[in-house]
Amino acid sequence: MVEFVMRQARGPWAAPALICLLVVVLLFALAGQTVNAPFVYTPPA
Amino acid sequence: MKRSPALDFLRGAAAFAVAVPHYLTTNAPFRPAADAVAVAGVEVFFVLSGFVLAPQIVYWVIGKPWRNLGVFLARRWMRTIPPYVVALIIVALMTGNLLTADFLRYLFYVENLFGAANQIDFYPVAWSLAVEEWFYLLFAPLLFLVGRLVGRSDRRLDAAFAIIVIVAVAALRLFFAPHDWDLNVRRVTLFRIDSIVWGYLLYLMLEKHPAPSLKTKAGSRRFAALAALVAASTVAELSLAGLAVGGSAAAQQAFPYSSALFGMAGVGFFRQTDEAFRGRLVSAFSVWLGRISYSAYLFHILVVMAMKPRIADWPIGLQLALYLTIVSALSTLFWRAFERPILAARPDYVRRPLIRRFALPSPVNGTRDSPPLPQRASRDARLKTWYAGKGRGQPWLWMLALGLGVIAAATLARNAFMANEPYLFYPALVATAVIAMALAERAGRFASGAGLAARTFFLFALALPCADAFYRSSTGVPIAGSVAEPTYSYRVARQNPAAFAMWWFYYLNEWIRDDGIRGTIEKPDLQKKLPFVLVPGSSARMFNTTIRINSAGFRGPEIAKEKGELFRIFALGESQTFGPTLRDGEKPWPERLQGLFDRAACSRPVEVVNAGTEAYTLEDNLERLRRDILPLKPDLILSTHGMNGLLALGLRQQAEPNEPGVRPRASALLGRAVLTIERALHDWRTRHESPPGPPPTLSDEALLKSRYAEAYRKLIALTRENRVPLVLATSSMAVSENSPREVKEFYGAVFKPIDDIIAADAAHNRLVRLLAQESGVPVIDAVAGLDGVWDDDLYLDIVHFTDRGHERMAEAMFRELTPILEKQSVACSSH
Repeated sequence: MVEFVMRQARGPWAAPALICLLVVVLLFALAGQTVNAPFVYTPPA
Repeated sequence: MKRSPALDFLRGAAAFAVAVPHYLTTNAPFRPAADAVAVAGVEVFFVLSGFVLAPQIVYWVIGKPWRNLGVFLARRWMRTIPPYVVALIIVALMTGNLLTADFLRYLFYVENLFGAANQIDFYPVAWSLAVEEWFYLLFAPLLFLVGRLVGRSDRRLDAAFAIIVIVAVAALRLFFAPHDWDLNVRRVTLFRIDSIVWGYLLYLMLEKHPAPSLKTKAGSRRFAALAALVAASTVAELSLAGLAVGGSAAAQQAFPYSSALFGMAGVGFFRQTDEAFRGRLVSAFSVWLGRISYSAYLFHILVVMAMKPRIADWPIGLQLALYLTIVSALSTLFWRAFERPILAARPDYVRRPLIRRFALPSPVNGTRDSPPLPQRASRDARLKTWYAGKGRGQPWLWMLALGLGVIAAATLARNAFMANEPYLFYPALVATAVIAMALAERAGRFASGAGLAARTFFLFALALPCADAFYRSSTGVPIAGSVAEPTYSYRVARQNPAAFAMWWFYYLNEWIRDDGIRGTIEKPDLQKKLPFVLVPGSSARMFNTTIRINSAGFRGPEIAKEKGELFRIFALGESQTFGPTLRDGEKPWPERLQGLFDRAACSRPVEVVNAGTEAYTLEDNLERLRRDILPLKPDLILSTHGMNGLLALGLRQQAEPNEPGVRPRASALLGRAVLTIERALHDWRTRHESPPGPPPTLSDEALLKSRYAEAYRKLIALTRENRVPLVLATSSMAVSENSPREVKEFYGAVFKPIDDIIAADAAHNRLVRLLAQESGVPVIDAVAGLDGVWDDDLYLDIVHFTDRGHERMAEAMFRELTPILEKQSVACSSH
């Protein structure tokens, strides 16, 4: 377990961090499109 | 050990005996026969499986070290699980069931352990694989343990154990099998695990009796006898399968035994004819057929789903030819690229003849599944390394475990996301990422790419809660609707449909959750005339208050059985009258009206009974009037109907039930981003559809001929028959024809199509006035000061009142009722 954490900690982390940032920005851009989206009522059976 | 091409052929034939009927089963003329053949085909698999695994179990597992038991399970799992998981993921993707609870049950072979557990049986062939898997996990290990316990391992013990299992399962079937046979018996592991044991027993029976050559007299005699047995058992099996599927209880009880006989006859026959399959071409074909049988069984459903709708109008022979070609080609490709490398990496048994009680395996029953004898010492060494967990020589088992772990954690995360449970969702996402990182470490030549992806995912899982918090604060999307912050109106929701959506789901859930209003105070109508009836004396929590049904079955306080001097008014209506309330102290309008009458000095005490029932139409209320209200001697019936009967006035139902819309999700950011993609896809799919036209208009004549008018006339006639005065009332909604377009759209996002609803409600009110004119029944105008008043917080949604709305409705009713009561000799002074 400790070995696993140590191996992971050694990285690389720069590329994942950059991609993660891009993904979050993309999500904000996408989510911004439907802030006022309609919602759908499903009547109870 | 030599393979048996004849048994390979049988295995392939059984797979296609399932695959072909599954293609034909939706074509009406083939239906019953196709069903019976498919049902029988699977049974051959079971017996064959037990037969070919038996040598491994009796020679390599029973009486041998623990290690061989592990090797047995590892070999079976590496053979069966990876292709199954691939097929399952593809089927789930195609049917939209990826990572659902049903998916998880398939993944761990528990969808049919004691009964059909899945809501959607989206991968219908998986049941037999679950039976196989549980056989591997239970039969050999239990036999191994029993052998250790009693200190022996011989054929008598092997046979006795098999017979005990068969008898035990037969008893279970006899005494505990439910009536729903096909789904809950035939395809249930508990009731079917014996079907493989029959094959195992057949091996024990034939072990010492090698098949005589077909060239000898004894051989041809046995061939003829077995051929006759196969023919007879096939006829019996197909007829019993047909009868059992059709519902015959006797056939259902007999089916497992006819299947065992059918399978055993088939296996015995092909074992006998093995030498006829030794020709080069025949042998090569048979071995190929055996090899692709598993993937053909796994993947044929996919091909049916993807192909059949596209070629359904072709001649059936051509369809079948293309289908078989595609299934065979796909299966061959999958075997070469996926199955073969995994099979090559399987561990071998350890040859350590600890107990030499019986001879080494006889060569006659060699099959594709027979274990290769260890040839070199280095293999043992490799195996030891593998078991010691050192080195990466055999990472398959770890890969498998971690792969399953990733899928399980991702399933949990997905379900928590859908169910709006952020406190489960975020940790599950992090867990998925960590397991994915461990898996990526072992991904061989893809390790660096997979590692990068897993680390990105891990960072994303950590960053998402912060991103969500920021998204919510910047857009005003509440985490959840709540009674503390009700956002039920256009004004309160600050024109934010997203906030209203959260409120709406919260509000709707108060009605429909299991322990909510509808689950607690409603019960089925024993007379089957009403959709449900209210449970007398019941109560339920709704928001921050308790809704009580009195012992007579009406919402509100108890009423006296003998009314005495009371002037009793029943407010007959729908959920608007029933009145969902938010907090203690809030009252629906009939109770508030009671308060107004109490405060007014009336010449005779007035009692107002709330006879509103959620989801009832006027037609339902006619039955309720007869059944529950007339016996209580009403002095006046006040009809307050509207919304629930609007379909009778030409209201078009929601055109697009599958339109993607806002749902509360564990991550608002992710939920909205996914919604954007869903809506873009939806818009693209419906790009050729024109928007709905203007709502239909009804003439007075058409209105008076409508079903709604008919129900009102029945109400008028029924009250006249019973000499009870009747008062009709118009109905009100949050929006009307004169409301601004943006407010209409605000409510229209939930109530669709909004223009139709508004038009139908206006038509209803016109109808009420026309009928009042026609019959002379007095009418109360409940529209003034209420209908279309969207900016004064009178409504929880389009139709249900807030406390303030109830108050205003009660005042309107009191004002309008006072002069009507005067005509009934009840004088009340307004205050």
